[in-house]
Amino acid sequence: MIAVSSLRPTTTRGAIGLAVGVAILAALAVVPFVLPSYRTALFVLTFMYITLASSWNIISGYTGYVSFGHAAFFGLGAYSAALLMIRLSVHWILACIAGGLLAAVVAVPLGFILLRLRGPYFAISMLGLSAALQIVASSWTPMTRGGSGLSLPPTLNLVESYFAMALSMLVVLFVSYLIITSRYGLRLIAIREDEGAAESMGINTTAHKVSAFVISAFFPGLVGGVYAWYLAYIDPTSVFRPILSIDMIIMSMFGGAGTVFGPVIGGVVLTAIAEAFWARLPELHQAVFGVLVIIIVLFMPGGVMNLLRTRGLLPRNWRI
Amino acid sequence: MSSILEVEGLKVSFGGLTAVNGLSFAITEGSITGLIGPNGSGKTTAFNLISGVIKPDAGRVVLNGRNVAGWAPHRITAQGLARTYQISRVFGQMTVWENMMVAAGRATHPPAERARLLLERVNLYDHRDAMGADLSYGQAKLLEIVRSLMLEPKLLLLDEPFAGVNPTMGQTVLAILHELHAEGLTILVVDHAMSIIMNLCERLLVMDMGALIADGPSTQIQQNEEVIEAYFGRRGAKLVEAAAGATNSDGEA
Repeated sequence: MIAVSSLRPTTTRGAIGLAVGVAILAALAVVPFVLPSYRTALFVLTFMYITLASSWNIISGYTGYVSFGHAAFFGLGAYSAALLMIRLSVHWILACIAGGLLAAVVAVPLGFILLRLRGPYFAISMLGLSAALQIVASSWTPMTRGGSGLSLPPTLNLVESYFAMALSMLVVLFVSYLIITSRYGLRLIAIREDEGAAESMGINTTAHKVSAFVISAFFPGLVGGVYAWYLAYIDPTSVFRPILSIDMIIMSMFGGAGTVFGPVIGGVVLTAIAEAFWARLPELHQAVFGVLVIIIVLFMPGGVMNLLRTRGLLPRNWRI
Repeated sequence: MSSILEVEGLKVSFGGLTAVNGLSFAITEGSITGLIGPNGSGKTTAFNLISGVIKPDAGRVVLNGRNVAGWAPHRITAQGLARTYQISRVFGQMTVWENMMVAAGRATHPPAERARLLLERVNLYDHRDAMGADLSYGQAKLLEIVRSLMLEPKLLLLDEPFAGVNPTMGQTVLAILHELHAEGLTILVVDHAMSIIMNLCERLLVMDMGALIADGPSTQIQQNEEVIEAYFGRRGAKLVEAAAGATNSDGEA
């Protein structure tokens, strides 16, 4: 057995984690049945953001390629799933999976091309990709109905939407856990740390980067589909909006990029903050996010998880 | 003994500057060879060309019988070459142990056992949970060497393993290199620590202006006029010659 298993929690810590996890899952399972619709809808939104931030985290947090345009995959999944449901009457679950798969397939050639770029160049290229797809969705009127958007039959089933988003979130978190506790994850971190040295260690960096990119594209595509089905309406500005990509980054960074639970913390805290401000100070809620970015960059560059690591509450190489 | 590495007519230019110009040499299996030369002579560029970090404009790099010139570094590594860098490139946000495991892909031994043995060899096993960023410069150099050994290379390229290392740590590096050589590993080492290189290496290759200007046993290289001139310049070479002559005269007197 390769000793990277030491990256996984010890038996005692694992047992405690498992117990807490089961308790949380049990509590989440009853949420849509006991909370009012508004609160349940807030959970759906939170799950979606956690899924998006966790997906972003795989290519950007683990591998170090910061994407400013992951909304591209969300929009791609949303549109493809919506079109499958509208035009071919595909079942929503299959349509959502197809949305994820299409985003993943598109990510393969894109990865080979864009992941040759480093740092700001990659970030900007992703931003450009998202903007380009938004233009395509806006101008390909015969297929997408352009700026008018696509309307789907209303689902009126919040419980199914809740569990679909929850399941997407749990799967991406499980995948993130498997990645970061494996030698594959270690290699992604090596690429983030020093790509040249990683290559000299025999790591096929192109294959690793592209595969991480593909995984990180699948889940936004998947939840894009769920989002389209849940809201029963999408348009180019709602699913390709740049602020969605920025939200993924901020949430991941706030919680701790490069860790499994960082995006969870970021997703929960920032969705709650955004919701509170949106309800009370609608004109200020984006400004609050801006201030948060400044605070993160200045005072906690590694996010909450890094704060816990530097305070000795977590081991320094803790990535879960 | 057969050649494990054959470099033939290797050439690369950056803009108007030809950094390596028709470099040719061969390295015998099991040997320990030093590659020396003044600053800017092209030693590190030669290493980068051999290990695939830079693609050559022309020439061949035959490693284990296969021309690997222009290959991606990870493919060259899979062919049996490992290298270290002039400035240590340990992964700072990984523990010492993780640094070892990340290179374990193609190791034939059980990786954990091999990592333990290698870390014990350089007294880093007790520091296995330390972060790479927390190591001293010398420790990072040692870790980089043993990490490259996780790949079980047939040829090890070491770029200035003694640079910036304190004398005690330098002795540890030296001892490790002697051991590895005794175990049959082929080593090509670049360094400016001439006294160490002269004692460590059976054979020296000397580069200047991107080309090989001398090749031979270290005792012979020390006397080579072209080498002395490359290091000290024409005027300096005369001074060295005069000093040597004076020493001889004094000795005779």
